[in-house]
Parts: sequence; C-alpha cells; structure tokens
Amino acid sequence: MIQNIRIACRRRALRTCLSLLGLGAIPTATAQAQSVGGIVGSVTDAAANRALRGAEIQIDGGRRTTTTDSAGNYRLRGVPTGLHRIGVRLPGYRGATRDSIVVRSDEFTRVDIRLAPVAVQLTELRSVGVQDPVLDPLATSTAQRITEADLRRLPVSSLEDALALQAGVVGESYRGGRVGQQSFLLDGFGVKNQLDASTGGSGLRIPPDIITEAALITNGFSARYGQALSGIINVITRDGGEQWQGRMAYETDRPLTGAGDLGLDRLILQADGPLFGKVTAVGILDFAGRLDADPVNAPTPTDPRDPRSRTPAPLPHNSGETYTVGGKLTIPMGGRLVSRLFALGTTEQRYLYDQQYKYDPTFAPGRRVDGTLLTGHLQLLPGANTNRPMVGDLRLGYFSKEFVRGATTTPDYKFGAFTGERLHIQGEQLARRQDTLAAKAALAGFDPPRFSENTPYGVQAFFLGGAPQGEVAWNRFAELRSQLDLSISVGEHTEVYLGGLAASQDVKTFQRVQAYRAVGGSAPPATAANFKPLITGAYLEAQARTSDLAFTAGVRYDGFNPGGKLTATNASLGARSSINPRIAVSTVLKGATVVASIGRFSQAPDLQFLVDAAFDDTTRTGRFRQGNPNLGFESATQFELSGRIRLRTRTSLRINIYTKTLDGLVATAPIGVNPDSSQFVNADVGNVIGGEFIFERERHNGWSARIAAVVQRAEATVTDAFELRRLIQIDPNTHDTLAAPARASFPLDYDRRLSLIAAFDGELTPSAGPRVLGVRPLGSMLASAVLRYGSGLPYSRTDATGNNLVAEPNGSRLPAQYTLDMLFRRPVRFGAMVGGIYLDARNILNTRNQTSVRRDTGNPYASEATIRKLATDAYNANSSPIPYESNRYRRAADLNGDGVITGQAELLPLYLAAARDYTQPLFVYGPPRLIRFGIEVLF
Amino acid sequence: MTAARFRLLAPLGASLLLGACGHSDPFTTPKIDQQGPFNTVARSRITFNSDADYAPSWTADGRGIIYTYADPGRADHDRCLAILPAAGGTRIFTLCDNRPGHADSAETITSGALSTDGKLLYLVGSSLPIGQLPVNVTLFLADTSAPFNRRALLTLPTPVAGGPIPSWLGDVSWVAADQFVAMAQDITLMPQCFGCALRDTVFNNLGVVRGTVTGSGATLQLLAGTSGARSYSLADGGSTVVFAIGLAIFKVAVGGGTVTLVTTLPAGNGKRIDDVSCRGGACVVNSFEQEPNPLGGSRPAYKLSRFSSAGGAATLIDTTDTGPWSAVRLAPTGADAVVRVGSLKTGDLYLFRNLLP
Repeated sequence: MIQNIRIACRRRALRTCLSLLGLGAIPTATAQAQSVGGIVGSVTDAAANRALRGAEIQIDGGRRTTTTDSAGNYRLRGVPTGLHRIGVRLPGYRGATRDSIVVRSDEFTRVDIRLAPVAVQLTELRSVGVQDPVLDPLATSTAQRITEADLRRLPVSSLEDALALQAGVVGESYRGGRVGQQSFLLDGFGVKNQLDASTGGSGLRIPPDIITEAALITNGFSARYGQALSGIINVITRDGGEQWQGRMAYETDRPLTGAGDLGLDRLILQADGPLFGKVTAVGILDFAGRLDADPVNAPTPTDPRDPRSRTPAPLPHNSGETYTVGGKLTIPMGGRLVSRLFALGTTEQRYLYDQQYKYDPTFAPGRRVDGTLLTGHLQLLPGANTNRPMVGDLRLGYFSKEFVRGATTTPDYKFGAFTGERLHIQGEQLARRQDTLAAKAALAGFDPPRFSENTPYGVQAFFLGGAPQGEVAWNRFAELRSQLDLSISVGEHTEVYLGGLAASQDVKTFQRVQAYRAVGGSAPPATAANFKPLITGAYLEAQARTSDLAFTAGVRYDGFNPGGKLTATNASLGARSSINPRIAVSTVLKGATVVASIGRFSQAPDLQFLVDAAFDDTTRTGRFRQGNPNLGFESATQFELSGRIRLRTRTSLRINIYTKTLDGLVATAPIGVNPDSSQFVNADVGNVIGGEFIFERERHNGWSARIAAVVQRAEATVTDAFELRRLIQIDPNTHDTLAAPARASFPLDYDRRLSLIAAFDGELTPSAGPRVLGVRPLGSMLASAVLRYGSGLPYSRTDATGNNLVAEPNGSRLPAQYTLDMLFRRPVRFGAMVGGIYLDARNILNTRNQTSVRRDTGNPYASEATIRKLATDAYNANSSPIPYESNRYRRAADLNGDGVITGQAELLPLYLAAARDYTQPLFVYGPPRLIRFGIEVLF
Repeated sequence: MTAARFRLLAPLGASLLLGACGHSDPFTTPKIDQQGPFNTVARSRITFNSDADYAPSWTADGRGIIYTYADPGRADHDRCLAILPAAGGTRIFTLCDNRPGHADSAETITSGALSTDGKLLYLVGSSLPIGQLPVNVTLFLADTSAPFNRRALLTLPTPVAGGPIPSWLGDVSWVAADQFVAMAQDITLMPQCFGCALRDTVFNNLGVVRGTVTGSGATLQLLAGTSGARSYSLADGGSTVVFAIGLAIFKVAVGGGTVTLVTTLPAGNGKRIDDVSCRGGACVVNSFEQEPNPLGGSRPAYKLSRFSSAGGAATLIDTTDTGPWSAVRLAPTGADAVVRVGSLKTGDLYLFRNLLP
C-alpha cells in the first residue's frame, strides 16, 4: 500500500497526495499564500565560526534571493506563509539546503546556517539550524494556530468548531470576555459586525476548505489589531494553485434513524487552479441543511398525549439551511505586486421552533441572515537584495450583514432541510423602507394569534395558533473599509509596522411588534434608526531583537464617530478617540522563552446599544429599551506573562498567566420606575485572571497530541446595574425596604473556572490491521479524538415570574460538562478517483451533563407549584365549558360523558397537562450526539 | 488500488448514498379522538355548548350544517359562523371576527349559505355595545378557502324593489350561481323587561326576497305574495318557494308568478306556524299551539307534521311539550332534519331522524 501511495503521489499533484494523507493542509512551496511572514538568520563559517558576508540565500530555488551583510545576517520579508526550501551558496564553501521551513503569517522564522569550507567534511543537515518556533522570542503574541491539517484531522466541521478547541474559548467568548469582544481578520482585512456583534455574529461562514491557517490571538496582540478586547481571529485563505485541484464532499446522518437523525445534509465543492497566465482562482460552494437545527436533547416527555413522547426528535419548524458561495482571484502584477479579489456570501435561513406554536408550527417565526464580503487587496512585496525590505498591503472592502426575523411561510422542503428558496418574512419590505408612519396602523396581512385548538388538551392556554406573533425585526449593517498596512525592516534587527484604517458604516434598523394591532395601548410604536458611524484607526509598532532579547512596542489610535443625530432627543454627537499603548518583552532563557506583555485595548460599543429597541429579543416582549448614543469605548488592560518551554525534541509546554481589566462595559440602567424601560450605560468593571497550560506533542510517527488546561476567574463589579436595583431586601426587624448595595461583584457570563481540552490524532500505516477480502480496512486510517471538560458556567436565579432576581446576578452555577468527539477518516479510491470516507461523531458518549436550567427552579423542570399556578391562572382566565362540537373537545376529559367538558374537575386536569407540556425542557441540554457519514472525492 | 479493492470499497461509499433515503420526519400534531356522546337515536343532540346555537341550515351539498353559535369564551360576545358535519361531530369550519380592533364590539356572523361551488354568503351585524341594535349590517360573499377576501354585497337597511326596507336577512339560500333567496326581516328590541340586564332583539319577518349578485354588489326584490310570511323553504328542487302565512302554506315559483295555496293547518288554541321545510316535494311544518293539559289548564305543544308541496292535508309525525322546537330544516338528502331545541338563550341543535318516508 505504501508503494501504491508513493506511486500515486508521483503521478499526481503533491497537494492531492498530502490531502489524501491528511496533510493537505500544509501549503506547498508553490502555493502562493497572500499572508506573508519572513525568514531571518545568519551565515557563519562552520570551521572558523565567523560571519560570512555575501552568501547568496535562495528561497524555493531562486524565487526570492538575498545576500548576507557584513555581519553575516540576512533577512527576507514578504515570504508567503507555508513550507519553503532555503538554499545557501558561497564560493569556497559547500552549498547547503533545507526543506520544509515553515513560515507563518506575521512571524519571522529564524534559519541560521553554517557553511563548511570545501575542504572540510560536514553534513548539510547539521549545517542549517532552524529557529524553534516554540522558543522564538519574536513571537510575542499568544497565538493558537489552526492549520488546514487540523481542520481535516480533528472532528470539526467549521472554523467555530476549531476555535472552540483552543484554550480560553467558551463558545464565542475569549478569556472570559463577553461575546462580541473579539475581532475577525480575513486575509488581514478586518471584518466585524459592529451593530450587534454581541448577539448576532458576522453573518459570514468561512468554509474550512478555503482556510490554510487560522490563529486565535488572545493576549498581547499587536497594535496592528483593533476593535477587540478579548481576542483576534486571524484567518488566512488559500490562493489558487498552479494546477487545478479540488474536493467534493457530501456528508449526512441519513443512515441513522430516530434521535440519531438530525436531518443533516452538507455538500461542499471546492476547486482552485490557474485561469490564464499567472492568474489563479479559488471557488467554493458550501451548502448545509439540518432539519433539527436547534438540536433537541431533552428527555422524552412521559405524557402519551405529547407527540414528542413517541418521536422525541426532531421538532417541527426547526430547520436551517446555510448557503455559502465564495471565490478569489489572485492576479500577479509584475514581480513585486500582487492583487487579490475576494468575494464571500452567506445566507443562513432558519425556521424557528417556538414552543408557543408547538401544535401550529406553521405560524412560528423565521429568520434570515445575509452576509456579504467583497475585498480587493493590493500587495507590494519587497524587491530582491533590498537593504530595507518593505511589505505593503492596501485593502479595500465592503461588508454587509442583513438580519430579518418574523412571520414566514410554511417550508417546502425539496431535499432534507433544503427548500431551495429564499425565506421571505412578512412585512420585510416595509421594514426595509423603515416606514414607521405606515407601521402605525395594523399591517396588512397580519392577524392576531389565538389559542391553539390543535393541542391534545383542548384548553385555551399557553399554545397559540391561527396567526403569527406579528413581529417584524430587521436591521442592516454595511461598512466600506479601507486599510493600509506597511511593514518595514529598519536596520538589521528592527521591524517597524505602521498603518491605518477608515471604515464608513451604514446602520439601518426597524422593529415592530404586534403588527396585527395599530400602535397604541399594548402595541408599542415601531422603532427605526438610520445613521452612519465612522471608525478610524492608526498604529505604529516596532519590534527589535538583540541577541536573545526581543522588544516590541506599539501604540494604537482608535476613533469612533457615531455619525450625527441618532434620535430626535439627542443632539449631534462628537467624535471620540482612544490611545492604546502595547508593550512586550521576550527573552530566551535556558530552553525556554519568556514573554511579558501589557497592553490597552478598546472598542466602540455595539451600535445596537446606541439605538432604541433591542435586537434578537427572543422573548419578543416588546419591552422598550432606550439606546444611548453617548456610550463611550469599552476598554481592557491586559498583562500577561508567558513561558514556552521545549520539553523534549517534539514536546513543548506553554504557560500563560494573565490578568485583564475590563472597563466601561455596557450595562442597562433603569429609567424611572418603569421596570420595562431601561437605558444602556457604560458602567461595569470586569476583571479576569487566569492561567493557561498547553502541552503539545508534535506529529511524529503518525500521531500528535495537544492538551490545554485553563484555570480562570472572570468577575464583574456592577455599579449601577439594572438587575441589582431589583434586588429588594426587607429589614427583618422594621420591615423597611432596604436599598441594594451600590457595588457588588459577581461572575461574568463566561466565567468558566476550569476547562480541559485534550486532542489526539493518529494515523495507521497502510499495512495496519488484518486483511479482509484482500483489503485492510484499517490501513491508512486516520483517527482523532477530542475530550473536553469544563466546569459549570454561571447563571442568575429569578423568582417564578422571571422578573426578579433572587440572588446576585450569576450567583448560581451549572454543573460541569464533558464531551468526547471522534473522527475516523480513511482514504479510498473510487475507480480513477482518489477520495475518502469518514465518520464524524460528536459527543459520542451522549453525555447530557450540561444541564441548562430554569432560572426559577435551578433544574430543567418547572416546579409543581409553578405548573399548578400556571394551570390555575389559565383555568381562571378561560373556564368556559368545551362542548362536543368544539374542536377543543377531548373525550377522555369528559368524565361524565355529557358532551361538555366543564367545571374544575374536568377542565383543570387539561390545563395542568398543558402547563406541563408547555414548560417541558427542550433545548436545555448540551450538544446531542451527532454522527455524520461523509464521502469525498479529491480531484 | 487494485480492482478487487475498488470493487469492495466502492459499494461502501455508494451505500452511504443509498442510505440517504430520507430523514426522520418531525412530529405532527396528533389526531384527536373525538368520539363523544353522540348517538343515532331518533333525536340526537349535536351541539352541547351552554350558550345559544341558532340559524341552522344545510350546505347546498347536504354535507354540513351551517349555523351560528356563541362562544362563551369570547369576551366580546361575538357570534361565529360554523359548519358541522351532516351527522354531527366536531365543527369543520368556523368564521369569527378576531381582529383586535373589533374586540370592543359584538359581531354576529349568521345567515350563512354555502353553495356547492364553495361560495359562502353570510351576514355580519356589529353592535356596540352588546344589547344594542346593530349599527352595521352587511351581507358578504366569500370563498371558504379565504374567508377574509370577501366582497360586501349589501349594507342593510336597504330598499327592496316592490317591498319593505329590511334591516336583516335570515334563512339565506342559494338558488343559482348568482341568485339567492332570503327572509327579509326587520330587527327591533324587545321592551325592557323588569330585572333584565339586556334587551333582546326581535326579528319581524317582512317577506321572502330574491337577491341577485352583481358586479358591484347585490340587488333585492320582494317575491310577490310573500309579504307577511313567517317562514319559507325552497322546494321542488329549488324551483319553488313554499311559505307560511298564518296557518296557510303557499308556494310560488322562485322567479315569481302565481301564488298557490298548498295546505292549511287546522286551527288551534294560539296556533301558529314557526317553520316550513321541504326536500323535493316532501315538506314538514313545525307548529305551536296550546293544548289541554290532562292535569288541568293547558300546555304548550310543538308539533311536526308532514305534507306535500303538491297539496293535501298535513299528517302529524311528532310532538313534544318539553321545549320549543324551532328552525326545522330538512336535509337536502335523506330524511333527517336539523332542529333547534330549547330556549332563546340556550338552544342546542338536534338531528331529528326519518321525518320523511
């Protein structure tokens, strides 16, 4: 089998073979990545141990060359990320070469070379020393990298899955910060949904098949990065190769049945190659559908009248489909200029399950999110043999995200969860016009919902039908961003980075609830906002190295102008700015590198905090929340001490100890005495302190391992929080109402005190395992496993009404959780085609130990007292008899068989059953077991 | 890879696709077991609610009973239109006014007539507040598949060619694709009774009218000779109208013409005819009178008699003294009739079986 594969590799593109072996993620030397790094080093006489001047350094057989200076040092900038081959020549000396030099984005790889005089016998391999990236003192940021190989080898199917395996990540929270305190860089271009990042994401799905490398930077990040407090996600996409190649894959869980079938179908088609001349292209289609998009993993109800007691999964009207289309053109323009055009569009549409519409799911709401990104990138690479090589990147891009939610039509599934149609929301056009005047009247086509007549209980309570809730929520965020980045070598040991950005934003929002009712009374007026903020930024950073000491210092300017009049009651607001210094010092001690960094970071608040109403108000209460255009920056000051230790040749340990102070966090403060009205303010202070321990065993002999443990505490100090004002205390002696304390500390939402992530992957040899019918089923099998343990996250307890906290915010904790994910992948030939089959299993133990809870009971279930109260209240509100001719008549409840269900004895049991059904847990357990089978063809 | 291996592994991959036959379906709302107290005795109760059901009639195809009911769960006291299966059971169609802007008024949807091609005529009367005369009375034409895509045909009161000015229409029946007949009525309030919270409405029959649906609405014309009719029914396959004035029963062609006496009921103490209903040429008449009570005095007697639209004396087929019978309507097919039994406030619908031979 080895022989066969080797033969195949000779015949086919190297990349195809590497993909087959699970190594396809590593870019080849010929693949031109748009993110660049550098190679530095020195050339010395191996015999006399003196610097050699004038030695010629060649990268990849002469694509890039330079020569050493009088001190024997050389420096190559603008080297594409990936694997490279370096060669050195000097008359009178033996030439030396070294393959597989890894260059990472925004990092220098040190390669020191010792040349032997012709007369001296030394082996080539001993003559070239590559700087250990673990110990590289120039790498001052805490970056956890995810390669394309990781994406294929590990049980992950999206960038988000892969990021979740990194230390310090809880969902989309990084190092204890709230969701939205991160920034996203796609090929160096900043992409951030400034409108509702804390609740909405970017709307873009980056298909793993176009990613060559992703890095999560959680501290000490460079002054080059802004708009983030807790983390930077830096994603590098691939350029087209020199010959056409690609991958087509289909994965599904159709072979499973019942609760194992979540209705998953996914189709991926990726191809890249040359178009004409040196112009290359990359194209990607990634379509995914899932009938049970919010997976149900709750216990089966015991009431046989509940349809979930027979088929616990999936729920109706709970499907989602995602369509992502992307493409990229790489256009070399002479020797030093490269331009790239990139386009990515994602449409995610969801039919949202609503427990109120359990028995009339047609009327449950839908949601559509469209994300669009168009970028142009002009890159200036340094010339050969320049004394001060410079890399320049000019980027111009347009990003938009549109969100709409409301009543939609009944899904017409064509294949799995795919409808093949764009989901339309009732009233969407009106929302897009932001016609608040027309929205004062009841909107055409909207009827008020009624109590459902289709429940097994028949009573008029809890469950709705007949018409949707009457909500239209829409917003659009668009941004035109220009960005210039320069990196210049100054002197022999100093790098300077400078640049800036300007982003013109356009924000439009609209929200109307109870659209079947004219505005007035319980129907609040439609809210709309239309304004154009401006984001600016500039930075200067220098990095110098002397011997084993590296020093990085930078300063960043961030500006934010909300863009004039946001509301009728707020005058035009001026611009605001923030200066953020960042410093890092690193040195190599005995077998270890120590980095100390401190930096200040700031980001403008989510623009949703600036405007009235709330987005993703899933409770759809229609509660009024007043925006506050006066909100200032949220900021953080981070200090980190990290050590990177090479334990053995292939094992390393990283220890990061950090503390982060979060300031000016957005909170809500009450307006007057109306408990439903609040305003956003900058008030809270947070503090995060923690330690990360990351052990890595590099891949060797077919296996690798990574264990990351995090101990962390993330707390907030609230000064004027809305919720705390509701904490009314009664003096036991005087029975007076006591005021809540002015300040209090409590855990932040993502205060996970302890987490452990262990990832292993291994690959069997082609001859492994027994031979069955002439085939070794286990031969070349790739297997990986990810074990996760996380202590419980905090949550707030409330009383039964849900309106009053009964303890400090986040004063209670969920139980700990653990999961085990596994992936098995085996290369297979389908005739002349190379491909593979794989089995991807998540939470294979089906541990349901992440017990989300009701805030009032602390467990997944409502208390009997709560259920009885709900039922009694509903009975008192609708105690009219149910006659036989009514759709709501249920024979079993007609105890005396007189054709009328009447009185407490006959009606109340129905109300109790309905209340129990309505309050049953649905989405309250952790990720369910998910098994998907995949088949792929590489070409 | 050898051919043998390919032969082995290719089906493995293909089996994945073959396995992709279909996902598990989401749950659907379960079928509700509606088996109830319904039975097949001679008089079967088919509505059980505690409030009034009234104005029953049959759909033109005979497969449903269309009637008006009051849902006690509605705070706005609206009356809704509904259709029951012909043999009774769960309502298969309801039409209520659920618009939030109408919650402060009482809407009565009544006088429904459903043609075989699915066109529904119905009258909507709005009163504000409940207990007052309706301020808006409109006859609508709708398709049952889209009940709120309706056309307003008439606003009442409206003049009727050759007749009175009715403020209400009752007992509407289709007679052609664009024609219907109805009982023109005048709606008034009862004098305030002592201790009554609300004053009841009273319908005074004015005569049978023929309506024609036009492009802009509908026109009404009094069917000559029907003035003062208490009740009417289509007969003889819809070609004639049989109606009662006093104790005499007449018939006239739907298109008008000579009025012919069909029969006359014998006189009685306080005797009156409340309903006539025909299927083909076979008719029943519902009459009321005070009978001598064996225990002394008199007692009310409700009597159903059978007669032929061709003429001849009526034959008594059933009688009771336990409650008012009203709104007797023979089914277009079969021998059964729907009858409203009970008081004005709490009447329920019954199926009376085998009234015709």
